[in-house]
Amino acid sequence: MPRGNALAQGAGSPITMLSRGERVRSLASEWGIVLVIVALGALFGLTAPRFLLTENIVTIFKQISVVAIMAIGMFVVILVGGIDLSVGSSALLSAVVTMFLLNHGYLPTSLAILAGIAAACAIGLVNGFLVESAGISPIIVTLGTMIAVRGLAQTILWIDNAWLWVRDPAFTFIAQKNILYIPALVIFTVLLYIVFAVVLRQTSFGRFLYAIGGNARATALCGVPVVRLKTIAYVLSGFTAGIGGLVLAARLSAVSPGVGNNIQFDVILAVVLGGASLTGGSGRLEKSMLGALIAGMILNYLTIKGIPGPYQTAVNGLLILAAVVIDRVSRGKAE
Amino acid sequence: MSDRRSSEIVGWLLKEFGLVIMAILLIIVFTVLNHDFLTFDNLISILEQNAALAIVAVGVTFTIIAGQFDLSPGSVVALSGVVLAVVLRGSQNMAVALGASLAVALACGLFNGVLLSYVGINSVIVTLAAMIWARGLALGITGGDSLPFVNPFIAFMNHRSVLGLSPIVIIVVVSYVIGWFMLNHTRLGRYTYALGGDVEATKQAGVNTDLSKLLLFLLSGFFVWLATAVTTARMSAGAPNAVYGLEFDAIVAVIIGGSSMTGGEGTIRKTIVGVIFLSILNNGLSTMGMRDSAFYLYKGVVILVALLFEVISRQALRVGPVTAPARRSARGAS
Amino acid sequence: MRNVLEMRGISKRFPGVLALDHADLSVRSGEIHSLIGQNGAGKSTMMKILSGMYAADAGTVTLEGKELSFRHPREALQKGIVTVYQELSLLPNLTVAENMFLGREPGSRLTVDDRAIRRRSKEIFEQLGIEDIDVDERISDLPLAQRQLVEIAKALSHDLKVLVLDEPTAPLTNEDTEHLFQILNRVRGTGASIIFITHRLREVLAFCDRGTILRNGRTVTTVDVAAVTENQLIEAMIGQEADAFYQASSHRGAISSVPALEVRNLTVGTRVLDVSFQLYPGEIIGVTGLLGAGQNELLRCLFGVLPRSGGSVYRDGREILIHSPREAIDNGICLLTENRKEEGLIIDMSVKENITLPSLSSFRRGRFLPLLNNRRERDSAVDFIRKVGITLRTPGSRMRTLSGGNQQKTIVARWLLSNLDVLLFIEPTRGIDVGAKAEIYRMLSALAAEGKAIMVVSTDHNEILGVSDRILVMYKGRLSRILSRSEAGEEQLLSEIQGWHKHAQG
Repeated sequence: MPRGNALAQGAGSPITMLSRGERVRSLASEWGIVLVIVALGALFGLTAPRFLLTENIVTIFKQISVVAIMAIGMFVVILVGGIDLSVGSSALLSAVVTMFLLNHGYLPTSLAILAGIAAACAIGLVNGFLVESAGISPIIVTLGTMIAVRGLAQTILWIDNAWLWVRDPAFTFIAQKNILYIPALVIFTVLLYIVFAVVLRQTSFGRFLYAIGGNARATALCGVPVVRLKTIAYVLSGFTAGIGGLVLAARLSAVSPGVGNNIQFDVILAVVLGGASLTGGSGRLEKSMLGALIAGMILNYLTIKGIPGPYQTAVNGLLILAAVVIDRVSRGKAE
Repeated sequence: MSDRRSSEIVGWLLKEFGLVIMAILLIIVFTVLNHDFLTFDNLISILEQNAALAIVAVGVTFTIIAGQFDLSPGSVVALSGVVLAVVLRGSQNMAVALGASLAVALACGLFNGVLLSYVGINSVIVTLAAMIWARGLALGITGGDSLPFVNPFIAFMNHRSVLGLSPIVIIVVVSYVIGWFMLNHTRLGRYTYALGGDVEATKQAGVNTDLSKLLLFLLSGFFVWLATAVTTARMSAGAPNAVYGLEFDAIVAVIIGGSSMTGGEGTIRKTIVGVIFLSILNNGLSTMGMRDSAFYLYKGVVILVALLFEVISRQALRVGPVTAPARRSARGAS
Repeated sequence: MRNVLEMRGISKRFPGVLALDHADLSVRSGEIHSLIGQNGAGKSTMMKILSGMYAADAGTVTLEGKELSFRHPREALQKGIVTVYQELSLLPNLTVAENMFLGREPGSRLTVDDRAIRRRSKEIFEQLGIEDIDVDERISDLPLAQRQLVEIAKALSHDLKVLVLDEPTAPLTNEDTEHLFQILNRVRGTGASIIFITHRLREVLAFCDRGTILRNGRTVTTVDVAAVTENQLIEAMIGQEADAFYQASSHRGAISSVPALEVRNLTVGTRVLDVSFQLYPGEIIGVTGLLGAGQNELLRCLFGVLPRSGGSVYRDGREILIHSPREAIDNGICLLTENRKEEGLIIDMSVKENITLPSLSSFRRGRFLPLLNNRRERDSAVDFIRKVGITLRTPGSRMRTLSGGNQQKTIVARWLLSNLDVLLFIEPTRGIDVGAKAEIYRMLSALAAEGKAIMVVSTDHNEILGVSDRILVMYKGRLSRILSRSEAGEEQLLSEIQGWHKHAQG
């Protein structure tokens, strides 16, 4: 780096591309998470041979798909410096609304799905409005909607005094069928990621979101409608939460009052493990999927090893801390 | 100018009395629905039912004034309650059990405090993680079941022995006296306000800000322990699912009471008003015999209205001067 | 007299800039020692090392013969080194008395004795002859000048060996400044030393005993104030003849008779009152005044950051209404603020992305295809990186790796790429080193020559005198005078800024 003589060079200095060595190095630090996945896979495979069976790997991918889908919206909210604890409840709401409309025959499948997702988006809009326009802290707002929206969804659920069963063929297809030996669910998840990754990296909308997370005030002074975009971020979180809720319902074949309870922590964990900074402004969406994969692998391994579910939750909490501490320490060294 | 003054007066009225007015409205509604609502016995019951909330809110007042969030109290109450039950079943000694649960509560406070002050991680993340792992541990230790126990302690705590007040109520009162004294007359209290005002400036003044933050979370741990004692005594069990959502109630109580969400401002008196409001709401809704789901729905809506009230009154007060002098960046040039 | 404080060979490097390069400073006991230098010369960094805010990369600090190394500002305070920073360090949510004793409250180990705090605070103010400050008032309710007095009183209440004052007089009127120096003389009488940072050379000559001049992070010389002239000080600070620095402008002033921007009776709350002026294409208008005289608010309002409470604004003769930065940009107006870090840079994004941010929509691939054309974006960014002369390795370099001067140029490039005609600058050279400063001045001049209409707010009188075609002087929110380049001298500018003629008129 020509730091010391920066001024001496002045205008017209050559503007170069990075050398190959530097590119390899930055690639390694960007995608070190892949190495982590490979290492964990090897370790788990050695200590629990069942772990690497094709069947188990497919199970892992199907298991993480819901969290991975919901992580898309969470990533966007975290990118702009917020957080959304209400996604589990929004997921339940979307599933309840859709299944209620379907089972009573009020709407055809496609419209019922849209209605469910719209309901979840509406929750995102409420969150966005309360955080950005009313100025209440996102933690308080989304903790509040987390509790209230679960209450709302369960109230709808109680209208029929029963669980809602999922029988619609569209849902069984997405949950159970394969396309070219690959589960439809996994393909669907990857497609969603591709669409959102392109939006975030290749449109001005995406660029603005990164800028807002980096420095909202400076971005506003560049004429970007910051409040509106941040509100949209919460709506997107509701959107993917809604999709996640429908997929979850499809996988469980039923909607019970407990659907999506505490899933927000798994979702946040996926995003944090994916290396997104919780202060906003940095991170790659694709890595959230890998973060979900790491969490899924660890939990799957713990299950194989017979560790009870509650302890797995505890591990989740500690993993969040570990990821943040490691990030903090490595950053501290870098500066 | 007159516009500004009238909006200031409205803002001030809303801010000082808005919540009191809403509380009175609630009381009227609940009294109409339930004629026994406004009796001494029922009011004491309300206080007993919401004792854990009231106690935890004292600690949360400190952390919020200091500009921090603590999302862990509910889960830590569950964890230290489970530990209390396990140790009691093993040792049959209540003092040892209470000691063990105090150790757990303080250890959690210490762990959170070190991470957020010395390692420098955002308090939201640290305590959010604690909310998850502490609940997970509590559930894991018991396998998900409650651990009931029998001990004279339970009868002692719940018996209204002093002037018709139970030790539970007295612990609540003592918590507020301790909180008031700490906040207004000790170094830690003064530094709590200072931290919420500007961490860098506080550091420049020579205050050990990291240690102060750590002590704050230890203090919060102490109140969590008191809440644990009260909760286990009321349930006669260590329950891993106990006080779900307590942290939310406590934070909301402090904020709708009128303390600033961004730190630097707040008093114990405001917290008391907030806690009373929320306690009336909890009790009133639950005696109306509705399902949990509807309970949460109504509660959420009422809280939201109260929060908006608080925000609107704040903004009404802020009309007028259009600029504040450019504030220094909160982090300085690290 | 012996040296009470010695700083030897102090070096400090920040990402992208070497702030201090083996700088030295020695201070005798009982003297007022001035630390003189341009913005970015390293004065503040030197003092932050002395006060324990920063750790030096190299060098030693000795106080009364004992070597010191601080890990925390608290340790410096305990040794009797007290610093009053340029940015006030009072807590707005505490009272005057609470602030005075923050961190060293009287009382027991656990409790604080508020009565003693209030009593002793009152005593201190009485000793200093300050009467109109209520110790129970919250700092947020005090005006700026009174906060300054509280800050200084707080420093004086310590058991002092060395008192560091970082530009304490900037917001003060002349009477307040005189008063301050009376107080400082009393402090000196007790044997304490005072390090005084300023760029008002007149104050150095009038009140200080010795001065050390810093330039580009190095110590140039230490002088006896009685033996030097103002011009000698300026030359030592700048390193060249005083007049040459600001360069004779290459532009000729206004090139059109239709004002690019016309402001009539503009009022912003109570901060800007009834201001009118015209800004022509090709012209640079300097705006100056005491800190807080309304100059920053004036520009912020023109950019739509602050709401207008009265008056009107015309752009090329047409009335415009601006409520947001977006509308200002759409009308060809841009603003560079004094808080580069908080309001300008997106520090973790690349230089390219920072430059193209406001004009991203012009890099769409097609009207109905919202994807960005990366190649076109990069080429445009590179164009403007070259144009303003940013030194960097690749357009993908992160902002944080750039020096202050290059960061500032990046923000200029951002607005040039957007092709705006009215450029508003607030303190464009704050915190950047001398070389980059000269480049910024050259650039301003070149832009004006291209026909841009430019306003520069600065509290640095030399800068204002050097770059402006006309100078607006503001006093307490009002426009007190418009000076043309030919009639403006430092003497007159200063008296206008201080509002002296107002006093003369009664």
